[in-house]
Amino acid sequence: MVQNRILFTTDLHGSNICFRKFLNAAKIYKANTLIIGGDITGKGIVPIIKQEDGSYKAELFGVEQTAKHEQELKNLEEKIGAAGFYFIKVSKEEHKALSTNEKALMEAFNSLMVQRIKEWVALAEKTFKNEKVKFYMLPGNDDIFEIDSVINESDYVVNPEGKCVLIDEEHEMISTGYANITPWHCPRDIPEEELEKKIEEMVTKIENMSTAIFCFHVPPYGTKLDQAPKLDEKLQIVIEGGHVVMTSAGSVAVRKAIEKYQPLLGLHGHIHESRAFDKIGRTMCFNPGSEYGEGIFHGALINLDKDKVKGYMLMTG
Amino acid sequence: MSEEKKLFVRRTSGLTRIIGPFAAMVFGVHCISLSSSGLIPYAWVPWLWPGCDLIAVLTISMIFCLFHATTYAQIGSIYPRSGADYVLGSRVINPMLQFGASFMFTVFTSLTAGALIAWIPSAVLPSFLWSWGKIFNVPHLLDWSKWVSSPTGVLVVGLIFVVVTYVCMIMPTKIIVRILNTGFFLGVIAWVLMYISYLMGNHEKFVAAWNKFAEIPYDQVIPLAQQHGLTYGPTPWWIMTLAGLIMGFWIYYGYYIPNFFAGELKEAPRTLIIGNISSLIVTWAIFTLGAALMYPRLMSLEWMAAEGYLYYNTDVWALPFSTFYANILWPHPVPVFIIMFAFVYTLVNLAMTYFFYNSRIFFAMAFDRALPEKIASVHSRLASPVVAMTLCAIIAAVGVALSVYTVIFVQFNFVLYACLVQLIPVTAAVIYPFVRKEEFSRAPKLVNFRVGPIPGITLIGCITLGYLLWMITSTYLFPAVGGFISGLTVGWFLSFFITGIIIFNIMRYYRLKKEGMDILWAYKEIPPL
Repeated sequence: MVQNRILFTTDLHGSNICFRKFLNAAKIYKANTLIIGGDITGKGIVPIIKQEDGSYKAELFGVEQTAKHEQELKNLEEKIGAAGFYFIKVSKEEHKALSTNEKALMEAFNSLMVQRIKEWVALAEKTFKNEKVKFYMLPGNDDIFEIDSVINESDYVVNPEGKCVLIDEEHEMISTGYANITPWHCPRDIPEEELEKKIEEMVTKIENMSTAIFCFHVPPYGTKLDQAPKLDEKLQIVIEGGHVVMTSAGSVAVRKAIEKYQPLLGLHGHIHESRAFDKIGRTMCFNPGSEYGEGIFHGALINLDKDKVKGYMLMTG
Repeated sequence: MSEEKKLFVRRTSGLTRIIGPFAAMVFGVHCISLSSSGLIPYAWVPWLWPGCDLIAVLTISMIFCLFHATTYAQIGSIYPRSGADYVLGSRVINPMLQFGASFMFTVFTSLTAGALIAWIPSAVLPSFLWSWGKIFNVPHLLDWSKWVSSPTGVLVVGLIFVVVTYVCMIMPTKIIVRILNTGFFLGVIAWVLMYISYLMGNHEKFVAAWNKFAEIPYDQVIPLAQQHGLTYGPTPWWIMTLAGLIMGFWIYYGYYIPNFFAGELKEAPRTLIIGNISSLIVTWAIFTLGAALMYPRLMSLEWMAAEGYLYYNTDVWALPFSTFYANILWPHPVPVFIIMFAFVYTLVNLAMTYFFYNSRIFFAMAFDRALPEKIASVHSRLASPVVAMTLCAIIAAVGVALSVYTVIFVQFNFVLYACLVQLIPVTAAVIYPFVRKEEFSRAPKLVNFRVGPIPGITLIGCITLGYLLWMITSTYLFPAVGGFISGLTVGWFLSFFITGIIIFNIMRYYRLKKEGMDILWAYKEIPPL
């Protein structure tokens, strides 16, 4: 008898389709605990520009898209949302103005990100609120702080940032979406020392480490979970001998904490291309990876018994 | 819209991993092989299809392979992961069937890697040792040439090369790529030296050189082969076409292997299409130029057919190898050594590519938990799937032994095996636009373009499927073309396939019982809510 079945996903980056697949996967595989491990907001806005003839034009993945009537426009909006992007419908003049106004653009971004998280939280509530399923949605280093309040306002979906939550009778979970500094200096990038301090503060709240879960967006340094292409100072990928140089991009503080406290489980994301599982001592660590842009859902299904990971599977759909 | 911003982006993290088009092309070229495929066409084609035009065979086969190369680039672009065709077939057709087929293929080609390594002592080294012994008048080298191709010699030297290949392959990918790049340039230099050798000669010079270094005089080769049963005549065009179809797999097999490590490619669609097609065209150009410089400038195709016939059918001394001809035309120690070294080196490179892609397929199966998870483990320091690689090396060592002491490889028909296995993923590619409509609509351009109303992947996939089906059929109809198919051939195929299916079901039962997980879940499509 499995005590708790966790479905963990991460780095959805605004992809409506991946979020909906996540919800459906939870239903199909009868998961009791649903966790999104950070980076839930999208990265780009696709301007849908109104043309003189009343049609709309946009470019998605390098391909020009035209919508001549309402239904086509709706399809285009869905397509953009599925890929994790936001859209704004603008005239040519508005588009030109937005292109040169950084402040207005960031306001548009914030508003669209908040709106989508509101929609996701509402959909999660509608789907699972009346079932015995727990739902955790953790903001990650890429996510703006404005979305925290949207999640916090829900009486169902829990934002576990900085907290120690009891996901069932036996298993406590501490979580953080903060990451060590990345080349992009994202909203929740902090120095390793600060991250270590945050983790240490949370650890004090755990009663039983042998059954505890560390849900840290950034993976532990020097594992199969944190292999990313090396970048130079211009953020260009370093290629040597025709081959990309890979490097560890995880957090030393996270690794240190896992090595020191040896929890039952580590749930991580952040590095999309490092879909893997690895063991640090007794701690089983997962990074399900992400292909949100392709609309491909990645998740980790984990069967937990009291103090052991009974079974696990990295899944794609 | 050209002057307008198409996408507003904010500062966020996230990149994809990468092997570039050039490295993918190098992998493809090595799997096709500048050494073994550099020897096979010149020796086998005139012998197997007496009277045929070698350049036409090389060209026809290359054209047909272009469709197959494109289909596989599309497969790898749909699911750019390790073992992409296994991933597609298992998700779109059936996980158990695809596992059985991929398991069979992986074990079979790992065994074949051993048989290819055995080629170093059985074909490549004897040819060079003989050349050196004759050219520099060193009788010991002639004795070594005979010993190295004896059963003991092949086993000992073959196993040494299995170990050499294994040690290379557990290195980090970066080092593997460097070794392969070196091999590519070395191979090209060797071919340039061979071209120079051929250009230095003409028919008279070649006959004189041959008579100086070979055991059978030039003029006696054809009569001797005819005495032993060779018949020579013009080959009808349809045999030519068949030859082209089948030889595509014999000669060019390997151009599509970047598909098996699609998860490690930069911009998978672009890298796959460039890598697959360029490796095909580069090798076609190299081999065709070789043929153009050899026939009929140096010798006739009939003479070459007789040499091949004697080598493969009789105990009469014969060396129907392009390298040997180059050596005797330019018997200088430097080019002779460079060509020998390059051919041995690139033959190791060939085995390396087999190890590389087979380990990725094993890895993909273990990642789906249909094999023990240890096989999916990656060494923390070497960043290499050491356990999967060890498995490949053990099977290859068995392949060396089998090729020496049994006639088992006679029972394996490479074309038949490879084509049967590919039926599942290629069928999956054909039906993909119809059974995965939503995924198809978001697939890369290489996958979701249309030719009129028909999806391009379906159209090209149908041509590839027809190509595969025809090759399977023709191996039965014309056993001389693809190799004889006996009940044992089919028996071996089925035994590997069924073993795969048994393993899959054992793993499924174990995971269900012990872990409460059904591995079939890993293969399921999850529709959005």
